[in-house]
Amino acid sequence: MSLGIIRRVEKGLFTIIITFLGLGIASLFAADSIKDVRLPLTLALLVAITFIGAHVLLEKRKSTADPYIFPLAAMMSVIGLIMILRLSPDLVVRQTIWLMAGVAIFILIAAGLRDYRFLEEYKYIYIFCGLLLLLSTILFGTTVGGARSWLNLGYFKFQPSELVKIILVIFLSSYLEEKKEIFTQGTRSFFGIQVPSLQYIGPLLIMWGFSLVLLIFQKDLGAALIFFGAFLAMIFIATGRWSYIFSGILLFAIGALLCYFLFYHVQVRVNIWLNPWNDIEGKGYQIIQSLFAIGSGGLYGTGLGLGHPKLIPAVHTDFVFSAWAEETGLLGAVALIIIYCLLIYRGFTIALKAGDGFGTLLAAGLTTLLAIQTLVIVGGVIKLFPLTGVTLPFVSYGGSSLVSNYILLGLLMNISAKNGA
Amino acid sequence: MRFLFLALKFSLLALIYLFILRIFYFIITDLRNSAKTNTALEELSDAGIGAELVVTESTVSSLKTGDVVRLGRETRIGRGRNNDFKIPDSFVSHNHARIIFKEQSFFLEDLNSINGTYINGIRVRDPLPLKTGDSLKIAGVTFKFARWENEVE
Repeated sequence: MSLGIIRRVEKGLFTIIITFLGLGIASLFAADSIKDVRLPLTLALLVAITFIGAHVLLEKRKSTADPYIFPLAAMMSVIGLIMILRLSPDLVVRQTIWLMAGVAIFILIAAGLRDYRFLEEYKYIYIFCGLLLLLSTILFGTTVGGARSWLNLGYFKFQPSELVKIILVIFLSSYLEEKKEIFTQGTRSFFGIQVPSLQYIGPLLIMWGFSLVLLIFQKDLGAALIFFGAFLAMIFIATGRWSYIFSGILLFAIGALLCYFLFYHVQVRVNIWLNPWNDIEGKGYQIIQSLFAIGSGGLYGTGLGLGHPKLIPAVHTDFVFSAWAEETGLLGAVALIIIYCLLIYRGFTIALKAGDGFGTLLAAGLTTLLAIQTLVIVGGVIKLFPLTGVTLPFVSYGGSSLVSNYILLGLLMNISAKNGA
Repeated sequence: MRFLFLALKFSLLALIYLFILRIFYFIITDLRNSAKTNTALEELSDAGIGAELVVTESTVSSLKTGDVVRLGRETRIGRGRNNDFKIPDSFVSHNHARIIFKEQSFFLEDLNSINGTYINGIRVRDPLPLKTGDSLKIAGVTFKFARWENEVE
């Protein structure tokens, strides 16, 4: 596509997004879900200006980056903003500020940073910083919702694991690109059976141990799953060996079983998943309310502001998908999932078109992060998997998650710009 | 009032699907266009035009005499990872040279490499068309350029 068309596509999509935001606020006002319309309208205006500003900057810089991923993420952010306005209006100012900060960092990475390839050089420094961040949460962290994964920085709380995910993917891309020959060849014959040698299995074991440590010390099931899943996907992309996937899944199963028998809270999660109806008023309450909410949405929902999603505890973070499904129905829920699929599709397209191994691995790894996180939380709230508390990317309330996801998006833009995808 | 709610609900859903459909439309158009450009690339071999570099002398361990490099519309040569043809030798620049097909000829262009690119012993300054039999030297590796044109059946 030529330069002119690329950014024109983006402009057309943003018109729809901003109309959608306005109509969403109007619906909430009509449903009497917000009393005073001035603050939401001001915030909507600010958000619109931020998006248009970002778009104009991309146009000014003559960016050839992918024209779909930013509007897709913006659509999700707008859906998130409408849902937060609906579910906990006192948090909407904060979320708007986070969104604007996120878009600012996004633009800085997408159009300001010249080339993502410099990231390849200092990999051991990043991973050291990343590990330091994680260690600091283990030592000084505060516990929110059962997971000890937050740093309290006075005015706001910060969740380092969101940022560490991205750092880890950058590190792994650089590391795997450098060492992929070793991983591709490293088998040894042992009594006629192909046995992987230590250099082959080593990184797998280290990553597995790392995820387990995260799980044990932070009680953060979701993050551990995402870390390990992204790692497996990346090593598979780098080497093309199925055996990594199989041995990884085996290791994962062992780890999961260990945790099930060792930790009470894991047992609780699994038992709720198997049968929440045993304890309707207690531990099963959240997931049952979520199922009721999704069910009562029907085909086209109750309408924004007209359902009862506030019955679900933690609805504005982990369960925002259920609230969305209740008020816009199956059609809205499917639309949101299609938007995620499109973003993930574009992410892998960028990975395929990236000219160098590092870019391919980086784009694929970052996209996998998004994909697994979406799968885990959407699967969790519809009771397909045991629930693990992670945010729905771009939609849930939460500053560190939103900003990290925009950093991720900025990196994808940077990779696609370089290669004229 | 009920009518207003219904109208709002469905116009919201309509907008979100309009957004999705527009993206689908753009992606499909994009895929069609790129399919067209791919065909343009294939025309090179369909038109029966092909060219290759054959290694005749090499001090680099990974390249042996007799190795063949097929040339496309654009072949980038260098030590860097993003090249189509990589020569892992410290005398080769990261982006050393490239060979592009235009105006029915294969042009060699030196990309300001430090140690230079030589055709028949002469250092290349400006893009130069290659002829069959030309010898091309980059650091310790010498190639022979060969081009053919087949009749299309």
